[in-house]
Amino acid sequence: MENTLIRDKLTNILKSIFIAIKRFITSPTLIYTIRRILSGLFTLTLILAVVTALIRLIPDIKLYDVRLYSKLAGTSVTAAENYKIVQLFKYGRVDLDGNRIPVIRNILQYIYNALPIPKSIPIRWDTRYTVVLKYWEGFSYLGTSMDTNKLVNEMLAERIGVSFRISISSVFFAYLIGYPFGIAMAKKPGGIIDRLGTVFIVLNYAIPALVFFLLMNKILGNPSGIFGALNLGYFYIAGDWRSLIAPVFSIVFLSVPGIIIWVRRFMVDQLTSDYVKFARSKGLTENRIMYVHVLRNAFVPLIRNVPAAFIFAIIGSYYVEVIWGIPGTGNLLISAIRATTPDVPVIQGLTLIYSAMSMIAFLLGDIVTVWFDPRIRLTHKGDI
Amino acid sequence: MKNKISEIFRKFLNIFKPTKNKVVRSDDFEQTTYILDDTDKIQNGETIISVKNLEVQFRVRAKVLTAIRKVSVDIKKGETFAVVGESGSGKSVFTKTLVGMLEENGNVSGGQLLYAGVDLAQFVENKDWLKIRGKRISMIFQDPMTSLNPLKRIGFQVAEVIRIHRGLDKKSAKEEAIKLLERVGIKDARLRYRDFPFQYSGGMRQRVVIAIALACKPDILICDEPTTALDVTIQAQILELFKDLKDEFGFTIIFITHDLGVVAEIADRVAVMYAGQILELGTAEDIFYHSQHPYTWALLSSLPQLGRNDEDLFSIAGTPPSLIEDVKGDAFAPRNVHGMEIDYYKDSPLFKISETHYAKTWLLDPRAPKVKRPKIIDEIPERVAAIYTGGDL
Repeated sequence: MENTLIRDKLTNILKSIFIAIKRFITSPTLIYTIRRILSGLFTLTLILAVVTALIRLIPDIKLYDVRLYSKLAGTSVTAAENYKIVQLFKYGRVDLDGNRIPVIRNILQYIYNALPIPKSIPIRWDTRYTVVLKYWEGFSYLGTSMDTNKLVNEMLAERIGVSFRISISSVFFAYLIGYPFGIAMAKKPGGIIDRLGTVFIVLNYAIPALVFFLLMNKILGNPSGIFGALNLGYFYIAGDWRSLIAPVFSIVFLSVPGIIIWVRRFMVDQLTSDYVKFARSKGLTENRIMYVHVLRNAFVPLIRNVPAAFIFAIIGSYYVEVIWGIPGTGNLLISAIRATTPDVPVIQGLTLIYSAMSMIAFLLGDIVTVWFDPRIRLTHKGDI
Repeated sequence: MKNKISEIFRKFLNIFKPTKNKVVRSDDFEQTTYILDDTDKIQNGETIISVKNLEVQFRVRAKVLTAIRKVSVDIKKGETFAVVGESGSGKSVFTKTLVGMLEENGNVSGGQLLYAGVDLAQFVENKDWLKIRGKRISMIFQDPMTSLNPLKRIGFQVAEVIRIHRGLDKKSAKEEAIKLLERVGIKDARLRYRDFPFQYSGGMRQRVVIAIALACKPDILICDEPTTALDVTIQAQILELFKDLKDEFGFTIIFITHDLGVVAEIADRVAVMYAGQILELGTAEDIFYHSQHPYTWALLSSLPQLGRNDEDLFSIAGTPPSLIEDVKGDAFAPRNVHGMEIDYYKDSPLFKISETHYAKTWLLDPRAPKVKRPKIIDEIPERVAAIYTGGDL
């Protein structure tokens, strides 16, 4: 008797778990997400193909050190030829026997290397370039930098941390300041705060970013200037959070107006809508209307951009990283492009990372929007 | 110095405080101690709202627009009082004044608004109004599609009012809300309690809006064109619901509309408004069958329902006057086919026709020439009867 009771209970629980799983698997959001990831991977492949094909346009002679080649040729022609082959092999132009590889295979090779599959790739040879001394063992291989001869994976891992820290803090502060400011402006359109805010926004937009960054670097960093007491310094010092204040402040200052404008716009939209009028006639206090009813509605069109803001802050702070000498990814990209011989693997690796990140950002934006607004369903065209 | 800083800080914090609905008036206003609990003692048929010489003005740029010009009317408990008029006649402003929801540039510039003996026109702060709005006087707006917060569950929105005004806890507020939803005709209210507004149809949403408005058993329900956005069958259902609920809850309805068909369906008394004034006031019968004001005639003549196939549909020529300047004489005079010279320089008083029937036109003055009413007005009883019997006109 009791046994059957327990069994019934168990089957019930199992059933409900089964239903929940079924609902999750068949939920349009999940299907949409999977589709988006698949199409995102396809886009990523295309981007890599284009970048690799473009990089193929760099002549071979730029990819190896001609002086080293002729020096080696002075002692042994084979060694020199081997050196050339090994260098070109690194960029997927020839195989280790010296046969040329077509563009398509070059692209596929790069993608295969980037995929998280265990593999071993030769990375160091003896002085005569005949014997492989060291293999790289691991999952995703993005090549070695031409400049520093370090692995691109490691360089990225090293540098993304500080970029990430800057972007997180600048986006956080930008929203922390921009959001209440936008709300305050929306509460009384045409009021004193609204007007002051508009002046601030217009002036802010009028400043060229680069000029502002250079100015801030000079003003905030100057030890004998007004902010000298804060000891912020002209340059970034690893491990010293204070040296990040100036760059983060500069980014926040320039990104706040964008947030204010949109928050204000959607807030005003919502505050003049009918449901607010009805809520008021229900006898709710203004604060309750504002924070319980309006805020979430005004946030729906904004939330989609929040993940993107984070990601683009990581990508988009080239100026800041160069000016304050921050060893982040932005700085890395600039120096890779600026070098006399472009640092091909670094550019490729950064392109891969950046495109993947922006795709993830937009997908996250969509998912967050769905989570916020029950009216929105993620489906593909034609689905119901 | 310290005080100064805290002053500045407080001012800064005030930025985030709501400013809407705060009517700032120059004359000092002493807090009236008012007892609104007495409203239950008012018997059916006694005056519950008494408007005296009400004047409402809006500041539009540097000019002043007078939207309500000296309106006086008594609204009795338990009746359905309809206010009709064309767009811009001030009917919506009139009702907004009753719940203190005028736009920020508007204010009551004169007169009294007595609700159970309390002068609502003297309310300065929003927190005074919070005791009235939703609790004593509820309001329903035109568009049910947008009256509900799209991101909050239906149940939450109904229970919210019950919790706030009646102080019930979450659980009993929920039970109460479900009862209310069932009462206004939502089937499976318990199952659909957690639905979002977009999952409801237009008619159902209007029912939810009605449920919210009735949640605190208000004395007065103001309906600002509640059926305009609905199709005709749903409109009839909602009007039927209003009648049923009125019998059950015993509230007073103030019904704003420009649809005279709806008025005939539901109203006990009707006020015809034009350019911020009441031109004719009477029972529904007075207005429909014995109307005296040329404007009311014009309105009734332009009803398509009363027209006949062989007649051209009447329309009122011209446009309503701008209320920014002072209106000299009768505002309707330029559009009035029966207009007299006196209309252009002297406003007519409100003539009493019977105990219930008043009209504001010089035509009722003994010295005025006798004017023949339009044929269609004289024929209204027969024509209406023909509509109801389905007969051919």
